[in-house]
Amino acid sequence: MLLALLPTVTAGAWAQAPDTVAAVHDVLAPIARLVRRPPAEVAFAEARFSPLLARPLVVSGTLSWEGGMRLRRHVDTPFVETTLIDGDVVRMHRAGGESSSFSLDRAPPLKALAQSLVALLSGNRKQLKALFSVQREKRQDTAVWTLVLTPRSSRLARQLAHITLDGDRQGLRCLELVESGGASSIDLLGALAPRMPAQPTRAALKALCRHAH
Amino acid sequence: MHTDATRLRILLLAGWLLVLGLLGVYVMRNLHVSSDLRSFMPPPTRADQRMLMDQIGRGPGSRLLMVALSGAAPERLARLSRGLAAALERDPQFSQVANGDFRPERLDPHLLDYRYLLSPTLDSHRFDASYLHQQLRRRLQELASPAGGMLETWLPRDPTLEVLKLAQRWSPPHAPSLKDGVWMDARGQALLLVQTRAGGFDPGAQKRALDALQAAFASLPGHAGVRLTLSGPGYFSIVVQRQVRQQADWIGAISTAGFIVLLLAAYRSLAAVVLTALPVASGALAGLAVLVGVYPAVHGITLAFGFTLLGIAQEYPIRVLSHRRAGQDPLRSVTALWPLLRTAMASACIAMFAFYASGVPGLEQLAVFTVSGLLAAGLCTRYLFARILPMHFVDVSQARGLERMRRFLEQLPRPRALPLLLGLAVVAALWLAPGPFWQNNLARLAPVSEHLLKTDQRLRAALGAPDVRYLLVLEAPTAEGVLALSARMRPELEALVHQGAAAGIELPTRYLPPLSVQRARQQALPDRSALEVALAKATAGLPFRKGVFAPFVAAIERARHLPLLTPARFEQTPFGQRLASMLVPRRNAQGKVIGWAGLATVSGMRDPAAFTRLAHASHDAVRLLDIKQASEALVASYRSRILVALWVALGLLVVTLGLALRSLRRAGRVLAPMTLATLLVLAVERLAGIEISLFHLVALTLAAGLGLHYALFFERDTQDVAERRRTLHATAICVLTALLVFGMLALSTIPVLRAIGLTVALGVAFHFCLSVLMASPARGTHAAKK
Repeated sequence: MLLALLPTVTAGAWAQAPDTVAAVHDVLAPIARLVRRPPAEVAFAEARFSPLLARPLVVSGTLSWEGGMRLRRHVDTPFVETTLIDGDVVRMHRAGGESSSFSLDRAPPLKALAQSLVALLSGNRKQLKALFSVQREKRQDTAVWTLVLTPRSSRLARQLAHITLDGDRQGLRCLELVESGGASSIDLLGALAPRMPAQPTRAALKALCRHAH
Repeated sequence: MHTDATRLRILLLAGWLLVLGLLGVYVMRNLHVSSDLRSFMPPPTRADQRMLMDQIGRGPGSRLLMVALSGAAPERLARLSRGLAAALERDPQFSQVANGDFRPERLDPHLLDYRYLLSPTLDSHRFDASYLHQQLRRRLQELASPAGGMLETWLPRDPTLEVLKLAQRWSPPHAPSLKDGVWMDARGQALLLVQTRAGGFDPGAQKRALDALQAAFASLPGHAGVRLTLSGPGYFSIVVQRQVRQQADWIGAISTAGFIVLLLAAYRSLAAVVLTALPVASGALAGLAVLVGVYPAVHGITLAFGFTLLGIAQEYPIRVLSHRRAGQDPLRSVTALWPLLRTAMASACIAMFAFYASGVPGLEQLAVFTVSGLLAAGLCTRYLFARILPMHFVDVSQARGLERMRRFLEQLPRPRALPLLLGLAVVAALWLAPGPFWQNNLARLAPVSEHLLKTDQRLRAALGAPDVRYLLVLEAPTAEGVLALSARMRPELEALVHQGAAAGIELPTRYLPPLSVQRARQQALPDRSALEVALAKATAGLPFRKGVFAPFVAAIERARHLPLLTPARFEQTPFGQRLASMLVPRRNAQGKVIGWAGLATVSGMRDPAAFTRLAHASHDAVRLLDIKQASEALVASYRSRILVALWVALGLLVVTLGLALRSLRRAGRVLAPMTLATLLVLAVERLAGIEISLFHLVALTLAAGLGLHYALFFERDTQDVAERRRTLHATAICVLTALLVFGMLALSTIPVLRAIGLTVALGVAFHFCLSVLMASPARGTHAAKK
């Protein structure tokens, strides 16, 4: 589903956060590179897979972080829709004038995702660890990394299986959210966004996320 | 010989105590105290009065409790809110618990099938290809949105989201916002709305429910440090009751101590003082035993008033103690005293019977209790008390200063015109006194603190909870008719809300539409084949998996053949209790159902007059019930019954005293100071700006009962100066003890206690003074000459 970060990372930022020996053992080391100063914006393309659907739904647009718990997801294709998470409230506005709002608490997986993104972008490791147990998948290729966030709260776990973050040295590439009911969504971020196939499959997208180039 | 007499006294005392103990056990085993204030109201005669009585105590607004949890992080408060809600839902004392955590999966699956009959969608749409296509396209967008995950489980069986529409419909109209899945206000307090099954003005049942709520909270893990705030009519009645009891208890403790010290100083015998408690205790127990034997339940207020009125009986043993003569067997003193005591008792009892005739159940019981209590106390004083008194005692007629006081009192000027002048002054005072004469709002006598009222206002606004004061009543011969009427009136009522006459109205149809509406919706449902064709068309070109909507097709098919949902059937569901409190039968005096009433709650009432106008326009199909106004009217009619009873009592007293004293003139001499003193109390209180309430009337009755004794004893024509000193001593002790006990109550900060205390204390003082001043002056000079 949601969000992400600046696709372009300056060389300076890269130089500021080198992989050190100590950092290799630090599961959360990659996220040091994700810290951004708001406002931050990134293009995204999302595929939603659902047991109800014969083929995934694909939407694309931009995700932005406006600081604090304020995240915006603007969809421009195939329809226009803006979702703003502002604190505890989610406001949705669709082209055609239809607006609605609901409490973020009605959608615990969304809330968890938003919280984890804000924690990542602001470099708040403590909050991230409080919400999730974080595992780093072992990779031959040290240029790419994958973190799997599993909810600590059993209440949340009933709805959200895990969130997977794929990234490389330049930052986040993909964001996957797997719901406990079997539905999932994969967001391709930044430079990867335009590479969303017309008829994506999960396997194809996962491959795209995990192999740089 | 002497030891034999002592042994006999001890045996008698032991026997008496044993009987009291047995009576006590009998009473304890069988006493069922009803705390429902309504049983102390006049019996309703018309059906709408009956309904009002029912609604004062049991209306949906009166049963609502608002709960706030504060003092911890939102997550913890949310967890506690869910835990508390789950615990209360299991408790049959609560008919509804809401904390914002609405989960459709918790709905009764059977009720879930009724969603197409309960939701208004089919009033304006059909489940045809074009509507379904439009809906499904929207669902796809929603699936692709950040909220998509919420849809996954519901979409196959409910693609038009009827359950969500019902959830919105059934949550409070102005619910607080959700945080961590539960209602939280701007201050970060978790809020819950709880409806008790018991009426709000049944303090006993409310207390049990509140205790259960507090216990449920205290047993939640992690509750330490979290503050539980409660508000609502039921909670207020408990708080007020507790405050009154606490203050009455400590004032009672002080005045009891003072009472004992006073008696010890007067009679110099610990044994005698301790024994004076026995006649009143016997009277109380006998009164209780009779009540228990006659009535299935005893009203709490009867007991409170009854014990107060039984204070009259405290005079009996005091009279016996004061009238003992040196060297005389106490039994002989009592025999000499008996005719007068008997007259006093009989008069009080006969006056009390006027209460019996009032027709108010609580007052009937009060009469039965007081009459049997006074009789028992009097008989015990006569036949037991005098026999167990210690032989050694001080003849009070020799007490220091008593003779001086007697002379002083007897030589006071007694202007003949005094009663007339006083009477005129009283009439003038009553005429000129400021403000309304009667206080009909009993709540004003035991007010809730400003702080609690503020909390109540805040929570009520945050939760959008209905006003307790107003109800809209929709009447029809059947429950179904009420639903049809409320469906018909809805547009006009909603227009009123739109105009700002109130913030919201909750009609019974919000939960259950009338059968006609359900039937129309059911008939609008497509049959299986039509639906399948429509779905096939609707999903063409959309990415849904084939057969994904089979549960939807099955649900519609089931809904097509459901028997329509009647109020009786709906009331068995989790939301049914909510409807049950809004849809009530109206009964006649025999308890037969003669009609039904729908009770719509109003929140944020701003313009009652607009509703009254609508009522007129609808020819009273819908009426606005102002519970405050109506209950004040009930109190007023109740009071007028008491007043009639008191007039009858006065008439009976004239006859009784006339017969007992064998002279109407003497009866007049006894009754004149008593009546004048009673009016004087009224005049003084009215001049002080006090509005007279039921409690004042009961207190006046007690004071009059005591005043009757003073007048009777002073009126007694005796030439024996020592005996007159004894009369004065007895009366002085009685007056002082009454002044002490009730004067202390008059210092209370709680208006109801102050009302009783001040009235009795003033009354006793006036009765004493007027009894002295209006006793025949000729007699005084006669004695002085001697």
